[in-house]
Amino acid sequence: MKKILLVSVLLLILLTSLSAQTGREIMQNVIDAQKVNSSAMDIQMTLVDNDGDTSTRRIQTLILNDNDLTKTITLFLEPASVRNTRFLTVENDGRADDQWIFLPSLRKVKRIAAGEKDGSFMGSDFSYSDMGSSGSSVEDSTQTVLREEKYNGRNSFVVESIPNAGTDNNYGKYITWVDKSSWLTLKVEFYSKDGKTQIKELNSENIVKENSHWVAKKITMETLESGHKTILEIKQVKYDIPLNPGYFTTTFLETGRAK
Amino acid sequence: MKKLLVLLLILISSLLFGQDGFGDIFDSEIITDKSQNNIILNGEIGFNYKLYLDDAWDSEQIFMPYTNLNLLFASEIFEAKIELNIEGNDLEKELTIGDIVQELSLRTFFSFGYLDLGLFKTEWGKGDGIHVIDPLNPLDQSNGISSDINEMKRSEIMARMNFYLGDSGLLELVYKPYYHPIETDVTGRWMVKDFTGFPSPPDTELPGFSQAALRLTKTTGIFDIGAMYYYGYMTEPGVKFIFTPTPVPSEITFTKAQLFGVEAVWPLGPFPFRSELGYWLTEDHEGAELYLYNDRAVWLAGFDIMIPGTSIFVSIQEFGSYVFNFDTSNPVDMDLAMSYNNNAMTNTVIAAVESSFYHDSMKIRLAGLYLFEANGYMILPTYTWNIEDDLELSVKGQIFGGDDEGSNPYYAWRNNDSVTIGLKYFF
Repeated sequence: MKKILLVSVLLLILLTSLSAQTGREIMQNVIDAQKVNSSAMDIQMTLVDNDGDTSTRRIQTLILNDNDLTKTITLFLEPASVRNTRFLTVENDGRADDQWIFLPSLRKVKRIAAGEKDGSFMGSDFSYSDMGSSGSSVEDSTQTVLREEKYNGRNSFVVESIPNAGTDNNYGKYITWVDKSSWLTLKVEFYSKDGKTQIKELNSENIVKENSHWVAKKITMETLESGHKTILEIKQVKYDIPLNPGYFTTTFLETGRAK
Repeated sequence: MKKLLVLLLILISSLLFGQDGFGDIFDSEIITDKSQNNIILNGEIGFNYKLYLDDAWDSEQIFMPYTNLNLLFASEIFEAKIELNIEGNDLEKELTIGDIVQELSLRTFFSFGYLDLGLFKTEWGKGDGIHVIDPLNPLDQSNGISSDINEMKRSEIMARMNFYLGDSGLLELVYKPYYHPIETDVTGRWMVKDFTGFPSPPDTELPGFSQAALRLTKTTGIFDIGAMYYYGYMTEPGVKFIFTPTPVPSEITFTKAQLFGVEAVWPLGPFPFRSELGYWLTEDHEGAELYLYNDRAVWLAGFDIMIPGTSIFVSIQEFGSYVFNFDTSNPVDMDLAMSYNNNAMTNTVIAAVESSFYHDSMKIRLAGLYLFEANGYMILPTYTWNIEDDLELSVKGQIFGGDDEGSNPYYAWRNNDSVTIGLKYFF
């Protein structure tokens, strides 16, 4: 009986401490859970229009964290019209990212304008800022824990984030369902800049542990007004693997070979 | 030239081949993409239906089926590429290998760089699709104009050794055994000047016409910079006249020249600023010979930007040239004959606006060019619709015009306004 009482008290303390977590701490945990030294992903994106017609994109992407700055190389495999296009992004401290693209038809590397954050990524429902984690910071918004609830059978925090005035953001408000055990986002509601109308919704499925990192292997983003959605499936993922820095160079873009 | 091409074909067929994608990182059993085959075949097949909107050439209509095949072979140390372009109209004329083979090249990798050998195109300079320090592949304007300058380039046989300079630098050394000048239409609707009675150009596929070039490129901080040097010939041919006493064309000539160039692109606020600057030092440095071109300075500057909050992409570039020792006294002086309204300076602005809709499945592009010295203009509207991921429908227009000035190509092409409907399938 004493043991049960002790366990109950400990559980109560634990629950109290959890519920006492601020929105900022929760969202910082989400960011920290995604931090890796390197990662490699093989991704399939299926675009589904409101008639149910589908089209497929396939990319492979490598990410290297170098002194808290991210370098990303993306190789486009499908559709055939963009096959073997290579795209390099280098995050900089205090200035915009450097971006280069290699178009196989021209066999030429070209520096391009830093992509507009709200521009569509490959025609999908994801914007470039939705796809990237670089530059995301809890300092840029104010978070409030709205409630705790079960979502898809998982205990979750529901956190509202409102971007601070003066910060560059595509949305006016986010409401995020955060899994308490993995710190992954289970669902995100994206609102218009005035914060009143929900415009997109993201849902995560197939949450598994890979190389001691939690990952959602299926993510669906829907644009509510059009009913168009994009299903992002991670066919393969590897974390904290040794990656040749030569992949993240314009020489690799040009030749497809890492020195 | 044929012997060289056949030799390259034999070399290519003897290779062992590899894969693309990050095959060394991902487990091959999970990656089932067909592009992982050792031999990669892709390309496009389709047709264009072109309708000219004037009556000067009986409102000519052209139906042009075509196929473009790319065959890539890759191994650890070799890469070989064949690109064939077969057009329906080709079957009605006597074909040369050069009409069909767009690229036939070998790339061999070393620890310190790589060697390119064969028939291929290069693109030098930091401009967006257009350059003033890009002398290795002459343009072919005999069948008209394309919005893709690279498409209009003639593939050339060359050897190019590329040396790595750190992670973001490259030194390119190029040798070209043959020389070809810019190609223009001499009898058809794309003719700029009437060349009736002019002699045939001499054979330039001779050792005496070989050329060499080098280029150094590097990324330093926010700057992508480069410098180049070319030793060869100017791409425009000249004409030598004999006076009887009226001038009679007696010989097509080519001007020996060296080109010194620098290039840079860097982010200037929200857009990359692109620039090129060059100087042609010719054998007629003093401007004494009528049939040779004088020294010339060339430049390009421009930027491109994605308009914030939209999917509208805008690109604007200005390029031009200035001829030194320009002499307006003799009408058969090559520099004067090729000038616009007797100006030593030429300035052209080229601009493009592009926007995509419906998850990138539809795209509208409006490109235009304006030649200041002759009020020459060219407008190229394009609409493309990806009906499926690999099936594209396009409607393209071409509109030309300008002042009636001897060398103004856009005036000469004023009757060539056209609409082209195309359908192509990517595989």
